[in-house]
Amino acid sequence: MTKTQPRTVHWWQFMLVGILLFMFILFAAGLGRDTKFIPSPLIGKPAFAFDIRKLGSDERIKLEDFKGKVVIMNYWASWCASCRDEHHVLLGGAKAYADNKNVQFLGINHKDTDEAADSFLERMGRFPYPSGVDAQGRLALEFGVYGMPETFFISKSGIVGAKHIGPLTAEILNAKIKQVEAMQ
Amino acid sequence: MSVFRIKMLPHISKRTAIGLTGLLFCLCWLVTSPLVSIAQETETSTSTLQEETALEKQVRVVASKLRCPVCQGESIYDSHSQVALEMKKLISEQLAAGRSELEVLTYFQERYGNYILMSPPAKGIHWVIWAFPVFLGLIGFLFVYQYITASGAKRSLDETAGSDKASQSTGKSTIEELHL
Repeated sequence: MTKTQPRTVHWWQFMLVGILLFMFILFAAGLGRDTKFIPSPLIGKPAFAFDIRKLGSDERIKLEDFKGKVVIMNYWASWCASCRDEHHVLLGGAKAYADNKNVQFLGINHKDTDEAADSFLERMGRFPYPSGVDAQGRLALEFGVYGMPETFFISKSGIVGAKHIGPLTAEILNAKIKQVEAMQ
Repeated sequence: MSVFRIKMLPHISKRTAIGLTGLLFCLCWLVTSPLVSIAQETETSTSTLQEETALEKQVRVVASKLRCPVCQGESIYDSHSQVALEMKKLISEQLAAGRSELEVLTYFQERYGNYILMSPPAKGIHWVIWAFPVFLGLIGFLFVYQYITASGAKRSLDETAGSDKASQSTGKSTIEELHL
């Protein structure tokens, strides 16, 4: 009869298991993350004070014009497919908040032409709020925009309160407006 | 032959496994090491280097350090997307206006966050990313070291056992000869 000796566990085996466990936890944490969520360093900071041309006219739009109001600043473009998905949400949202004088919707037409943008609005329905023009995309760089569509929620005091990357839903829109309305 | 294989298998699975694990860690280290990417980056930059002005060179350096926001793992220097082109234009303008490379990088970092940097800063949680390849490499070298020392110890043990056996058999034969 041969006696089986208890197996010695080496320090490196513990280390190996520890490393593999750590890598697995990192991997699992990464899988659970929302890939659309990219934290913006602009949240909680004053919004860039822009002065841009109004779409379809020579008038100017300044952020300071909306001081004292929650500004829902939506980046859109006629060439952006996802913008079509959220278009009805924005139309519905603007209609729902039409009586609320503390809420102001604002579109930013990104890297587009006035003609293409107008044609898009003609087809999809005109926004009951103004849109500014960011033809070169410089304002988008100031706001750290990744892609179309993107929406910024600016508080009454001009602070970036929230940001949404991708098409909006009615639920997200309402929740973010409430969140930023509560900000001082 | 089959007996030989069966006898050899446990030996392979024990010692070679340690060595192979070590090599695997070394390989992981090489793959994940930032040194590899730095070397690749330098090689690419050197090959595409043409006659360029001091400003263009500065733009190239800064643009290589910034990630294209709409691309997959591509710097804005390598990307031809509209956003990247606009960003390069802005970098050029800012550098021409007298801003330093660091100031331009900070400008983008303040708007896009750390994600915009091709190499995450070695602070906070990002230390893990930088330390991990070094850590993996160290473990790999330890495994290889243990494998080598264990093999050496076993070989010397085998040699000692072999010489003992040989002396025993020589002794036996001498006794047998004496008996005869």
